[in-house]
Formats: sequence, C-alpha cells, structure tokens
Amino acid sequence: MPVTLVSLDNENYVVDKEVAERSILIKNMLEDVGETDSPIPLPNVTSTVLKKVIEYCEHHRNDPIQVPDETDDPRKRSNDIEEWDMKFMQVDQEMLFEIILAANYLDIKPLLDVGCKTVANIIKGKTPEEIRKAFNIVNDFTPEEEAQIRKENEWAEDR
Amino acid sequence: MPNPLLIPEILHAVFNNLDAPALAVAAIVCRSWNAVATQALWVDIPRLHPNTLLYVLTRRYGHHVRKLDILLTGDPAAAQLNYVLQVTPHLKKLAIKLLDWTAQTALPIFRVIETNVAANLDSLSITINTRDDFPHRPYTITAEDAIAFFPTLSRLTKLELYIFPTDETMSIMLDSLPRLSAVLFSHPTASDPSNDQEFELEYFGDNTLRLMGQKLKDLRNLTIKHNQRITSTGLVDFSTFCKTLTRLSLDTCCQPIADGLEFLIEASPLLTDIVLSGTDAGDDALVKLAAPARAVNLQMLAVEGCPRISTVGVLAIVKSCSALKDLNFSICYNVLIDVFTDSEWKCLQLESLEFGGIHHPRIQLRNVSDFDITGMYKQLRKLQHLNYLNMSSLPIELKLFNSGRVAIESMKKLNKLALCDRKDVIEDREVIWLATRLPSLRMLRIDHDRARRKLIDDLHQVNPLLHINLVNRTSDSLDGFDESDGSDSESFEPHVLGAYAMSSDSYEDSGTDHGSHSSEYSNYTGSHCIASNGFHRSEDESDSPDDSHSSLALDSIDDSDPDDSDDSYDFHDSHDSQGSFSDRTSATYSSDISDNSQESQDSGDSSRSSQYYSDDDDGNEVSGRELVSEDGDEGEISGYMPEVEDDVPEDDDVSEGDDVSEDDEDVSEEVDVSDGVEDESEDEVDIYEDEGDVSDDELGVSDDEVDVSDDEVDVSDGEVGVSDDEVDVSKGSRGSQWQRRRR
Repeated sequence: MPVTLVSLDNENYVVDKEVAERSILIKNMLEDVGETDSPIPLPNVTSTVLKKVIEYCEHHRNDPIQVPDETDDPRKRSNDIEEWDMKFMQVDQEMLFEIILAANYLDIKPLLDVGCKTVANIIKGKTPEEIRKAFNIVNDFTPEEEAQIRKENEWAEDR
Repeated sequence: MPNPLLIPEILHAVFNNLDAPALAVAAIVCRSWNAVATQALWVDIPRLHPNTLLYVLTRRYGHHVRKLDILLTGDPAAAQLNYVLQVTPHLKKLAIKLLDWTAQTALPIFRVIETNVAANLDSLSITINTRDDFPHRPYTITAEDAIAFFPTLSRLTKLELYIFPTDETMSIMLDSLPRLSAVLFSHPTASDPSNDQEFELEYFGDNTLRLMGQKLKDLRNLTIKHNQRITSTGLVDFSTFCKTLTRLSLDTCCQPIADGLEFLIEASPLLTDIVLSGTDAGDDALVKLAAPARAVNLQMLAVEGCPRISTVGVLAIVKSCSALKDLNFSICYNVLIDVFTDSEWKCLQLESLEFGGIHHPRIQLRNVSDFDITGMYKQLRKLQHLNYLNMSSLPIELKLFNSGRVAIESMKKLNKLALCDRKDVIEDREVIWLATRLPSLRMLRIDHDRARRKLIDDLHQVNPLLHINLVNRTSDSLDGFDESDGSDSESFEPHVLGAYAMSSDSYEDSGTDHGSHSSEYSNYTGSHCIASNGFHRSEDESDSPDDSHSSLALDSIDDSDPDDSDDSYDFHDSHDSQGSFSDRTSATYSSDISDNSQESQDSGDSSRSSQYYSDDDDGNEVSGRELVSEDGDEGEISGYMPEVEDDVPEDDDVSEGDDVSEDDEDVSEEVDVSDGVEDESEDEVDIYEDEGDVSDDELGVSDDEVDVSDDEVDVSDGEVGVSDDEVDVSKGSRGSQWQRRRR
C-alpha cells in the first residue's frame, strides 16, 4: 500500500509503505492512525532532502531492521561505509547536515549512522582549527583553556 | 538550519566513530564539542598508571569511566586502586595487572574491588605477577580469598585470571559465579614448567574442566592457555555437559588432547572460533570442523605450530569453510605448498591469513616450482577481503614482484603485510611500490637487513601512514630445527617489551574481530610451543604501527623485571583486540629496533641473516654479506661473518658440487678479497648505488646469471671455508650481479 509524504514546501511523494516505514517516526504514525489514505506531513523536511532520504530508503528497503545495540563495542568504530552509501553521501556539506537532521527527525537510525560516520571521516586527521573551519564553528576557548585541555588529554593522543 | 554538529545527541553519534586521538582533538574545537568528546574519551581508560596526570584526573572524570585497565606495582597497589575505584562508580569492565607482587595474599586488592565496584562489574581480568627473585611460589589465589571475593561479583559474566588457581579455588569460583559466559585461564609461568613441577601439580586440571561444563550453563567462550594438566579426559567430560561453546582456545595446552578435542568438536555444533595452536591437534579435528553441516559456521581457525596438522587438514578447511575470516596455519611444517594448488579455495571471505613457515625444507623434500608459486598467487588473488597477510618464513622465493604482482595489487583492503624471514630481500623500491599500489597498507614488516633511512624518507612522500616494522631475522630458526632449541630462550625476551602494555579489551567478546583475535593467540604460540619444537619463530604477528605504544610499553617495563618474560606473555595475550592493530605493542623479536629506530646500528645481531632455506632450488639468495656491504658499515660486516659460518653448513643441496671443485683456486683468491673487508667497503658503497639499476627481472634467477654464479660460490666458500654443499646458497642472481660489478 502506498503512502503519501508531504514535504515542508508541499511537494507530495508517493512511496511504498515498506519504504516509508524505514522511518520509525512514520512507522509509529502509521501504526497510530491505522489504515489511512491521508498524506503524512513532514514539516521539518524540504523536498530536496526528502527526495534524497526516500532514495536511501528505497535502496535499503529490504535491509533487516537494526537491533538497537548499546554496547561500546570497538568494532562499531570500524567506520566501514558501504559503497553505495558512500556514493550516496557524496553531497555538499549543507546537504550532508540536512540529511543528518532529517534522519534524526524521521528516526532512520542507519541513515543517521552513515551520516555521522561521514562527518567522523571528515574530522579524522584534522587539527582543531581545520575542524572549526570545515564546520564553521567558533572557537570559544581562551588560549589558556585550550592549553589546559590539551594537557589533560595528552594521554589519549598516543592510544 | 541548525548546525547538527552543535546538537549533543548527534555529536555523540559522530564521536562514537572516533578513536581516542581524534576525540582528544575534537575536545579542543569548542565548548559544546568538549563536553561530548570528554565524556566519550573517558568511557574507556587504557593502561592507567599511578602518579600520572591521567591518574589524578580520574578524580574529575571518573564518573564517565565504564572500562578501566590499570597497572599497579608493589605495596601501594591497594591504596592506589582504591584512589581510582572510589570515583568510578559506573565501572563495568576492570582489568588489573599487579606487578612485583610479593605479598602472600591479594586480599587487600580484592577488598578494594569489593567495596567499590564489585557489584556492577560484568567483566574482570586479574593478573598477578610475582617478582622473579621472589622466594615463594607464584601467587596462587587461596581458597579463603576465593570464598571472600568471588561471591561479591554478582553480575560478572566475563572473567580472566592470569594467576594460579588450584582445582579447589576453581571449584569455589565456579560455585560463586554461575553466570559466567566467557572465561580465560592462562598459566602465569608458562614458559619453563620444569621449574615449577610442584606448582604444576596444583594447577587446575581435568576436574575443574568437568565442573566448568557442569556449572557454567551460559558458557560460550572458553580459553585455557598453557595448561599442562588438561587432557582428553577433561575435554570429553566437559563436552558431555557443555554443548554451547562458540569460541574455544586451548592454546599451548601441552598434554595430548587430540582425541578429546575431536569429541568436543563433535559435541559443540555452534563453534565459530577455535584456536588449537601449539597443541597436538591433528587433521581429524579439522576435517570434523569442515564437515558440511559445520563448515558454514567456522569463522576463525588458528593451528599455528601444530606438527600433526598436514596439507590434508588445511585443505579440508579451505575447501569448505566459506564463512572463514581468519586462518592461521603458520609453522605447520607438514603443510605443503600444495594447499594452494590442489583445489579451489572456498574461503573467499578471509580477512586475515597467515601461513609462514609451511613447507619446511627440512621435512619436505619436494622443491617448490614456479607452478606452485603461480598457483599460490592465483589463490591469493581471489582473497579480495584480506586486510592482514603474513607470509613470513616461507622457504621459497616469493617472486612477490613478478608472479605476485597482480595478486598483491588486487588486495585493495590490505592493511598489514608481514614479509619477514625471507629468502630474498625486499628492496627499498619494492617497498615503495607496495606503498604506492596499496594505499590501504598501514604496516609492513620486513627483515632488518640494512639501513633504510632513505626509504623511510621516501615513504613519507608516498604513504605517510605506512609504518615499516623492521624485524631481526630469526636467524637460527631453521638451524635449530633438528638440533632442538639451543639459544631460543633469549630470543624471546624482547616480547617482554610489549608485554606490559595492555588494555582491557581482551575480554571484549569480539565475535567478529577475528584478525586481532588470532593475533592475540598467535603471539604466544609463535614462541612458546615452537620453542619446544626447536623451531622458534620469535615473531609477533601483531605489531603496533604506532611508535608511542612501543615506548609506552618500554616505559612500563622499566619498573618491572625484564627477565619476567613468561609472565609477560600473559600480559601480552590479554592485550587489546580492538579493531585495527592499533593498541598492540611490538613485542617482537625486534622490539628494540622497531619502527622509529631503523638507524639502530645493532650490527651483529641485526644483520644476522639469510640462508635458512638455502637448500631450495631457487637460489636467489641475497646474502647478509651483501646487505651489509650496502650499508657500507664495516662493523656490521664483521659482525655478520660468523653468522655465515653458522648458517651455511646447514645446507644440503649439492646440486652444484662439481662447480666447486673446479673452482678451488678461485676460492683462495676470494678469501683474500673478502678478508680485506675494510678495503672493500668503499667499493661496496658504490655497488650499492649500482644496485638501483637492477631491474625486477634480475630478482628472479635467470640463466645468464647462473653463469656468474660460480664466482659467487667462490666467495662464500672462501669466506666460510665450508663444504661443497652450500654452493647453491650463493648461486644467486643479485649476488652474482654484485660480484660481476665488482670485477
């Protein structure tokens, strides 16, 4: 059964229920309202982003639902991103952020994970200053504070 | 649009993908990042030493800590432990190493754990090492201590003991901790049992094994290392009760266990990971694991140094175990190269493969042909997922840069490559080639044959992340083979260096982290069991590419007894198995010259080299002499000479004996030449520069080079003054080249 999703800018997208339910938010909504033809408004997501998110959900429609796993398993840090996902994430930073926000809002954990891994890969190997520049973050530390933090975290640098 | 990287929960998800050094950087970016990064950073504290800044900082950040690995020395240990554990109320996983422990009881330590964190712990690892000069027996946890302590660990599911429990203690422990699902018991004084006969008899054995099967209903993961009392009987009893094991390691359990093992394998259909290194396991066990219903389960198999395993057993595995990710049959000298050529491998998911030291020339009469080599690479080429490949100590000329080129180039994920103990030398430009073609490569282990300073500089341009790990050749490895283990013990000492570097990850139940898992075991077997075979391969499979680890390890060992090498194994074994080989220290043969110390002018030893496999047909023997001369370091030359004498007489290949006698006259001439080492050295430097022109093809043995080989023969004859037998040793392309130019 198809479901109609409506973006912030009032674009309608008709997708299979199975695809829409990749979003836990939508899944719960559908479960709450039961069988319905009425479109689902997604006031936090623009059409460009929603299109992208639907593309992801279409591709991963048959993936097993992830079991929430709260262990601090180091293997999760492997940062292996599937090839398709990697390509999918080759977008400008604004879109990357939009996708992450949308995935967070729509509760699509695997997409959020891929987004976060992509960001993590950007962070890796950069200096703090490069990171600030890359993500447009203002340094709100004084030089003394910064030195203090560096000193405190010295142990972690050679782990 | 809000910046998602200022939303804590998203930041947290991002930071979950960062390692500690990256988190340390992230903590400096801004205040909101700092809060999240600090929290993530402090979740897992590795290697905490007292009286460091980190130790003091636990006062402030201790409440974040979930996982802690602490190293304590001597008397203040209990007080220091208390200082930390007081402020880590959320601790779940604790690893304690006590060094230089001289007290008769560890009760004060146990009390501290009990008071502060015992009820929360789900994982605990305890190592207690007494000093070598300690007059008493090794610390054994007493029944009183056990009664007082174990019942307090009400939530414990994982336990590692690197101490000396008796059957009695173990029985109390098993009664107190019925929820255990993963246990590890490693003999703390493993290497020289002869000294400890009395204790041996008290160390737990078959009775405990049976009780484990009976009482631990949830047991999935069982590791017993270096136990000398476990026998087939215990294994049979155990598996009569317990049929749910998924992971089993009986690393270096020296008693005959093969029969019991087969029974256990039969009775444990869920086994995915199995380590039988250094045991008497035979082909039958492997054939059972490879049975159709089982084959899809097997993910990890290590049978390093199992003399009873032959080509048949390994073939059974590689032909059917399609899910296998990690396979180590190093030093199974009854496995022939045919394992690659006899049939198609099905285990194409392999991520880690180690097969150094197979096809032992002393045992296998068959020479390795080009066909074999090509077949081997053809097989390797299909292993697209490999991230670790260890081909050290192969008795063949690998032709890595000819026949192997395509195979190597196709390993897009290769992260670690070990090519030590080789018959032919890896040229600098070959290293550069590897670094260029394999951008994923982070660690390359090669023999410490010569100064590679320039190489290191060049490498930095090509692949700055690649670490070269130079390893002293295990020069007498094959010599010692049939003469039992003369000087083995000292060669193990360097392991001590890495030994005390530790982390609590070892008891992280890393179901899929096979690569490091096997490394963890193989370290041990590579030394211990091999020592008993007299074929010592003092090579650590799992070096850290990270200098800092080595230095940390070195630091920590300063205040401990370097002779304590047996115990150090245990530490090392308990070492981290986190994703990459990041946390592993180089407990290698070469620790003292690892990574950043290539300049080490460790002349005599470091240039010991060559000719282990000299009776092979492909005489591409680049002798240590040549290497040394390339250094232009006379000290090294003289240091090397005696080694040639040692090595060469081992060679049996008399195929060119005729030539020798014909050239007797030349021999004496050559003696003069090479005796005048100092005079030669200048020429030799020049020659080294010429070396750069040698093309790849010349690495292989080509016919025209054989013509020159007589000259080379003379040289080594002259220098060494040995029998005809070794002619083949120096019949070598590059050696010849070298000679030719010299004239």
